[in-house]
Amino acid sequence: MSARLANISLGRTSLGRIPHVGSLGIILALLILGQLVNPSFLSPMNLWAVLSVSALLAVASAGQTLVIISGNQGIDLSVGSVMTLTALIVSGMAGSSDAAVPMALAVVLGLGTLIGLANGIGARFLGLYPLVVTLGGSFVVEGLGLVYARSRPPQMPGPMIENIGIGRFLGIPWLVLIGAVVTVAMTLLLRKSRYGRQLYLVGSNIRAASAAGIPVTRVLLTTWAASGFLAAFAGVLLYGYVASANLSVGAPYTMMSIAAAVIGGTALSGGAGSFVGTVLGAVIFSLITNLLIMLGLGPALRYAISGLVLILVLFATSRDAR
Amino acid sequence: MKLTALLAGAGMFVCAVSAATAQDLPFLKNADHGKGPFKIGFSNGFIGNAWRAQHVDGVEKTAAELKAAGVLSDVIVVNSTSGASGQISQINALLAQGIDALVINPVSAEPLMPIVQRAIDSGVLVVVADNPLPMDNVLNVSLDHSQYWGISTEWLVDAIGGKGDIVAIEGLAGNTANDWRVRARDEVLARHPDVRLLASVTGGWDQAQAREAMSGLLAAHGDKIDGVLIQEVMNEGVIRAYRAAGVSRPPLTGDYVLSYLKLWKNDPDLRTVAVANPPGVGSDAVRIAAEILSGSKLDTDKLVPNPLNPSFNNTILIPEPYVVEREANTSRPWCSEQVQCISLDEAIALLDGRSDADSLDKTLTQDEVRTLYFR
Repeated sequence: MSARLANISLGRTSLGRIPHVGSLGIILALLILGQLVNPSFLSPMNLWAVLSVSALLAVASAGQTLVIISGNQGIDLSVGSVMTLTALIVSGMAGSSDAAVPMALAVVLGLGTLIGLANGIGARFLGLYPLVVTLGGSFVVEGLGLVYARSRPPQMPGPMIENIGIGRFLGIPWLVLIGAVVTVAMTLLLRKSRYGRQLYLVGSNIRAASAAGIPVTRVLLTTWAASGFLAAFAGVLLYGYVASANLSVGAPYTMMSIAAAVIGGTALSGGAGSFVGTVLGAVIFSLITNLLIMLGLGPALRYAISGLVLILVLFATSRDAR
Repeated sequence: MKLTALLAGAGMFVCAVSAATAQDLPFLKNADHGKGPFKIGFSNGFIGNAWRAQHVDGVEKTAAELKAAGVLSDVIVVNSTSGASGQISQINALLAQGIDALVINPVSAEPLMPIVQRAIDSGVLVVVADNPLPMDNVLNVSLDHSQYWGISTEWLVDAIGGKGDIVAIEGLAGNTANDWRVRARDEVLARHPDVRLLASVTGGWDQAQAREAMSGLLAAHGDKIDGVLIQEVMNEGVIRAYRAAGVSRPPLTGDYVLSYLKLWKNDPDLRTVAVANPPGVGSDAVRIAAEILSGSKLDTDKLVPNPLNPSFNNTILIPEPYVVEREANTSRPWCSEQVQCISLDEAIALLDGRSDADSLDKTLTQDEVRTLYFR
């Protein structure tokens, strides 16, 4: 464990010691393959499209990364349903005007944090597996979404949300810019803050961390609350990306967020991982989808191939994480 | 030995019933439940989107009406949120409550067939709404998905002048309605050899997936794409992919949900069409079940072959009620009394006062059901 941490922080020069060399190699290979398949693969249009999807997935996986690093079987299966709920609420509250967007944001980010906190309390104090707590939690959140959608049906977004989804600033899509800001913030949080250092220790050995005087409960509850908050934020971005909300709009992101984190080298056993890794995992995920669409393969073959490629990618990126 | 006895018994039972109803149809063997009022169970296999919410609302409204009229004593509506297994256990619970008829929208065919067979064996009349089942002893009440994508494809072929390259975004491969629609599309395209299908990808009836897929198709084929054929729900995602890429939009097929109709209204350059696939089919199926239980005779001329197994003649196809174009074009070959060609403004007026997520709908009245499908 400590050797691996040293590896990441020191960044030795030999090839094997370059951080994320596996992910970067796969991305390079996918880019070359894509360009061979179709000369417009590397066009700015396609790359921005891929990066926009990647940014959305990366933000959706941010909380998941924290929870998985926190170890102790940490996994958050409520990411997708929280994203759905926030998309529905922002859509319902803000409607087609911008005036109510700040209020809607405050409500959904607060609600997301509370849901995360509730998950954390279930996992920490009730002695339940996070898998079970968050699965149950996700049903509750789904039910809330259903009730809300019935009482206040979704509408089309106003200019601000619209802009998040398709607008650009200085030629760069807003989604990509937001993704970049989240990446910097998450990396600072994990690498430079006291919380970040404590999180890795709690994740690798909770007893040792506790014995060393680390406020384990506070670290874990903060992590879960952050996961809910970040999933809620990702739900807002998703709403911008698709411009309409329905009861299953966030559902695919639960599994994709776990996949992106794990492809990015976050150890399911906890205590190791980085957000840059997750971002690269999200990029790999989006590149594979994009490449297979460009190849024009039938759906059955696409599913099978993307599954196989993911297993290969995991083999290359996260085998040492066991 | 035992089986033979059982079969003989069943045969005698069928004979007895058919003598009583004079309709020798395998799916009507459980039609006779006395004088009523009757108890119906409605099992909906999925409740994740606005279409399904409207589907169930329609059933509940019709249930209230038929209860008030004294035709039905109770309608128990259950929605599965956990796929086939959830639906199976809910149907078990419905059977335990002693229903006369089961109206079911199955989440998928194969896993639900054994429990549906059990319902039939226990004497319950089974009417399958929306997604059909390949069984001869149920009555399927389905929407005409051949019309849904057949008309959409015809429109697109015409919109691009009968020749060019198109791409398609399907719903979910393997899903009954999706595969049925794909067959209809391919039949139309076979008649137009100058229209080339560059790629057909799945968007899972999910806007995010559809936008991602369209972005990929745009990168791969760029402005070679002369038209886009899309199933419902995903259309706004596709339009967003075009806007984000800054590529000018070719004709594309649209959605029949109010938010899309409004978007269309506000975008004079959008060339699109909407074929309505009404959620009201659930209500229609409940009315048909109630009518059968009440002793009315089905008009067998209205039955068509089962879309999944053409050797069974046990399906009522509900036509797609509206085809929407910006200006109503009633000279289109698909327009008829049952498939009305209406304008965008008329479509929006039909949804006046409804929420943006509501679909263009059509539900038959009990009288219409009686005239259209019964003698």
